[in-house]
Amino acid sequence: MKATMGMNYRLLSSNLETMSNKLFELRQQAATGKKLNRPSDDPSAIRPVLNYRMQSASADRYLKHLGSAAGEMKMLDGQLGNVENIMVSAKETTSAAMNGAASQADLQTYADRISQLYDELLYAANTQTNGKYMFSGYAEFTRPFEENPDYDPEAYDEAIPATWPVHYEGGENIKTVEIEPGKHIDKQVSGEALFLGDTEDGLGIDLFRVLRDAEHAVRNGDVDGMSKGLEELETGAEQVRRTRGRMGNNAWRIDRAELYLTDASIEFKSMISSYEDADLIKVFSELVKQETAFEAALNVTTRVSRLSILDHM
Amino acid sequence: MTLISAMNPGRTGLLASQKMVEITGNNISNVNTPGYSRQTATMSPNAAINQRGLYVGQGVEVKEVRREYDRFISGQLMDQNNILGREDAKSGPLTELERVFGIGSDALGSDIESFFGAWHDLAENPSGSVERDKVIYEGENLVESFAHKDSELVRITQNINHTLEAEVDGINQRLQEIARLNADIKAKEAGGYVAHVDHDRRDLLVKELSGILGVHDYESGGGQVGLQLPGGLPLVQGANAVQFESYYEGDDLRFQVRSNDVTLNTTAANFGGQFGGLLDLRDNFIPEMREDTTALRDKIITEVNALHEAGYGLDGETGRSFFEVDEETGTAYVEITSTRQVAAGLHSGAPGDNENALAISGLINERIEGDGGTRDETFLEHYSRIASAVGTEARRNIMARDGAKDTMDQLENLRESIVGVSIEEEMINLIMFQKSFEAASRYIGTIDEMLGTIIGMKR
Repeated sequence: MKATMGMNYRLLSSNLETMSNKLFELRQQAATGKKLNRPSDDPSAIRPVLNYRMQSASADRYLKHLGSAAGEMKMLDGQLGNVENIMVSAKETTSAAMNGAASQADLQTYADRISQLYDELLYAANTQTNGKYMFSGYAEFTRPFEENPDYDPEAYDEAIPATWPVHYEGGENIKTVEIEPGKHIDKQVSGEALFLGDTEDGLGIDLFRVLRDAEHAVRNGDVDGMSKGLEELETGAEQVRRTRGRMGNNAWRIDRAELYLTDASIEFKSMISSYEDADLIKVFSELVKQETAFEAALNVTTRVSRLSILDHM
Repeated sequence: MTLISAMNPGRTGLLASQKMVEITGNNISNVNTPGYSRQTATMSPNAAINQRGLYVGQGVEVKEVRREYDRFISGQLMDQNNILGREDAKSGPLTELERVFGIGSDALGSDIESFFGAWHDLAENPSGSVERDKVIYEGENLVESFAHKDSELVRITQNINHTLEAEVDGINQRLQEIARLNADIKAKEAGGYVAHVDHDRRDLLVKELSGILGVHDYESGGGQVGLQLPGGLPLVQGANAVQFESYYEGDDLRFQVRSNDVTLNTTAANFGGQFGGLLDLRDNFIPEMREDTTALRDKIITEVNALHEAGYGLDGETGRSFFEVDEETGTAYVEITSTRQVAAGLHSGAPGDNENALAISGLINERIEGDGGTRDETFLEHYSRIASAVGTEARRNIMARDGAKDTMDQLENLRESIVGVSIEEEMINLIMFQKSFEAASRYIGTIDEMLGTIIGMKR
């Protein structure tokens, strides 16, 4: 066994190659900040990384949607407060009209005031945000509440929609927001249930009819009618308050989901980072180590040629 | 015995030393020649002559020049070069495949995510024409990406074919040279001459062919070697080499060997080395990747279409497919042409209806059974599986190649340590033979002086 010059140089050059490859890899990690640059860098990390990346993108998207839903809920809440105020004002007006001191002229004024409130309610029921009707469900471009020109307070029959003061033209379904995959909550209220009292339990009350009745009673000085109207106005206001409470709760759930997703999004990103990002401190210390080794190898390489039998002959 | 004939041993010593210096010089000049085996000469004394009962030697003779050779290591080197050739050849296409099935944020996985994300955004604002438009162009992007992957795979296959085709000429040159060397060696050795240089050259060629084709060699008498492909197809027999040819069968590049009028077809199993590695990628690995990618595309198309057909566009129409696959070319495209046709709703075209958009966006989280009931996985898991397969193969390749390279280096070193040229050893030999040359000439000088003495006796 002898060690020839060829062996020395082969050993040195293959060592130098291995080292410069390692150096390249480390430099790439340092430059990109990533240790996962190609599938072969860590085949077992591919599935979790792609999965977390998808979840992270989806969490960001959910956050965007929830943010805009929260904005809509705020507007809805404002509008519900407005409707509630209308009902309370109508109640106050009716109650003022019931005061025995009110003259006929006063009663007319009060009745006009209630009629005005009725118009306000109709306007509120047909509110639009971003060009879409707030209370018309899926049919967002259809004006949901249309006045019945043939309305006659005397002919009113709860069972026959054609006799109602206002008709609902909007869609049946209400819009929801997805707070997590497969979990939806309402971000709208059904205009039909809120304004026309068309609820499942049958306890709802038609706000338009109530206002019309109250106006009718006040205009005619019908004390019994007024006291019934007062009661019904309170029921109506309560109906609005309940809805507002329920939507408030939904808004709170959206808030909660937003908070949760913000945390989850950070968590996903840190999981991706743990698979994907290089530990720079480790990379740099490794880099220094490799560079030293590389330098030493280069040194040896030049030294080999310095030592020759030819110098001694 | 005369004094003049006493010069003879000195003459043989001079000649022998000179020959030895020449051989040493030849070794030194070939110190970096690939495949060169160190040559040594054996010296033996000339037969002694009987001089009246005394047997006196008659100097020295360089009997033969030998070439140091280790059959075992040469065989090992060939085997290892076969493995190294295979893995080395695979690494190029595998690097490309890794790029095609990347895992960055610009990879196919992200396109899938973006497409279903667009449906999710549409669910948030189902009547928005911007969101509807986005669904359409993200759909176009997605099928475009799939088509791009497919064409990349086709391109890689073509590159492999080009690489293989380019080797054919070199292979034939080597085969013919080996056959010629076989003939030369046989002729020379029949004449008692040892063709060391031819042996070295042939060994080198066989080693190269082992890296390219994975050939096996065998001794076939008269100093000749035969070569055959791993499947047993003969390439070189004695002084005859076959013609190695490539031809196209449709888009497929095939190989055959021709000997006179007989042609024999080859299959991928016939090859090792570079050809074996590349043909394995071309005929097994890449087709599987293509099939799996197309299966993923078709799964997405089937699932999205099934839901889309059940939904309603803004125009109140239902039963429309979102994607369509061209039966003939197999390319997929988005069938929907207008934003109003995007079926975001489940209830006859109400603009605020987002239920179908939500259902479609939810597909990304669903584990769906593949074709033939293989396994339940989400679209992204399916893609991860493809990317992992490429990553695992590339990683295995890197390790196998590094390992083969290391082993190769060690074998080369081992060969070198036995048959290689060591400058130190040669220099020492040079000094030694220089000294013996000097001594022999000094001897002749001495005889000359002695002759002078005798001639000077008469004055």
